[in-house]
Amino acid sequence: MRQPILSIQNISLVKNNHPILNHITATIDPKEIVVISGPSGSGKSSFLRLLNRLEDPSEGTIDFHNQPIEAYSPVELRRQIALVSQTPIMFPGSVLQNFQLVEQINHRPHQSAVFYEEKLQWVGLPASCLNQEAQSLSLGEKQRFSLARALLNNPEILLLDEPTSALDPEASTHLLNAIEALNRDHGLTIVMVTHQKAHGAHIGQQFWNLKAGQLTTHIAVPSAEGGAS
Amino acid sequence: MNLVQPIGIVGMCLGLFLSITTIFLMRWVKLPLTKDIIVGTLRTFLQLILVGFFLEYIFAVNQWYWVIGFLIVMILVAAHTAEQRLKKYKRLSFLPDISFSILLGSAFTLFWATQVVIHVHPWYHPQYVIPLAGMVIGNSMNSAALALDRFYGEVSQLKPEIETLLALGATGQQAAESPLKNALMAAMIPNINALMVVGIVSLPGMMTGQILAGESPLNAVLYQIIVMLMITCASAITSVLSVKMSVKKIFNSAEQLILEH
Repeated sequence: MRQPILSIQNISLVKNNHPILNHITATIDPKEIVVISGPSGSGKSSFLRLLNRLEDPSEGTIDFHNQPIEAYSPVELRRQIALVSQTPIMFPGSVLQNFQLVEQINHRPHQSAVFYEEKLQWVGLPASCLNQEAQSLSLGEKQRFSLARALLNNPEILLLDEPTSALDPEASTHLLNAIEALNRDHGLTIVMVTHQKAHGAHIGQQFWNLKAGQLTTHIAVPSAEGGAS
Repeated sequence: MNLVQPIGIVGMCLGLFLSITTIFLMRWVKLPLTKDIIVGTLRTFLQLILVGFFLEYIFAVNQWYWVIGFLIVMILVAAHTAEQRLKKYKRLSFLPDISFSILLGSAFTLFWATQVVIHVHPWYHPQYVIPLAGMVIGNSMNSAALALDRFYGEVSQLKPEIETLLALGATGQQAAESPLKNALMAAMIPNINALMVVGIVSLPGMMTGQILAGESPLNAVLYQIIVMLMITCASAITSVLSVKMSVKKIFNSAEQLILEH
């Protein structure tokens, strides 16, 4: 039997005496795609923030490779479990400089322009974007760029918060296909939050529904490899 | 030797005419500042007369522990005043950090100016140490308050940017670099501007006072140059230290941003 890559045990999150998440227990296997849906304010984004320790749960534990996430250095954990937030943040400078910033904070040398151009093309952005002011990209372009930027750390798990919310149907399909390819070709485990159930329906192996901080539906679709249970 | 023209009781009363003018002007433009101007004027009289008597006493006894005690009180009052300006961040306590930063900034510059540059003897000579310390501590207080207010303001405003950097593998120190730099710029720019315009746009208080007291303008200028350099250096030390200490406060050991106010 495969060991889960993430094991979530009875986690709750309370903020300012207001319950956000309520006793969630679930496991995620390596190379699995989990699609989490639910209405706004159901705690989906907060859940993702707990997985890469931008916040800690008020109760419960999260294990990554059978080790509590607290056992990892927070910086190392966030390189392994990358979060792409719903509101993409661009830093001053060009798209290239935004890529290079990630290398800089992780103490890595800059890559060639071709390397970054490939990353852009991969998420459906033209290579010519590289020298464009990052702030001048459209919201949809920023969302796609954020995904490309998160991949620079070669994470094992990708947490995506509404990655297609600002995209038109065509761009949305392109991005979902790219996400599926990441999972298929590079073995990335993907946890994707969406408020529309239909998004990601064809690529997911687990479908969770969150309502008022509770995991109400949990459907697992057996994959061809028998990964999901 | 030139003797300073004394200001008598009548002179002081006539001086109050300037406050009355201020009150009338503020009332004319319908600003409700009358009470504040009256209280402020009374406090200026009371505080300065009290400190005048106190300084007369310290100068007369001429003991190092009186001088050091007075400096410590000045630093604590300055730190408290700076902290008051940061009241909106009520969850955080700034007093120890600001006191330590002002202490280090003013102690270093005061030591350098009085012992290395001016060769004050004895080392605690109150006539030199107290006025110089007053100017340095007062300016350090402003720098600390400006730097910290800007820093916490930026951190609250840039929370999504900071958390994006953390999510991309940055340490708290790296993620807070931009608010830190902006805060230090805000604290240093007034000091650098003062260096640029001194003597042209402004004649600083100490120099004016020395000239009024009969000192040669050239000697007064030399002292003023040292004072300006002391203020800039002390402000730099104070603001860098206080902001650096604050960076540690806004992240916990899990490199999570914990600023809430």
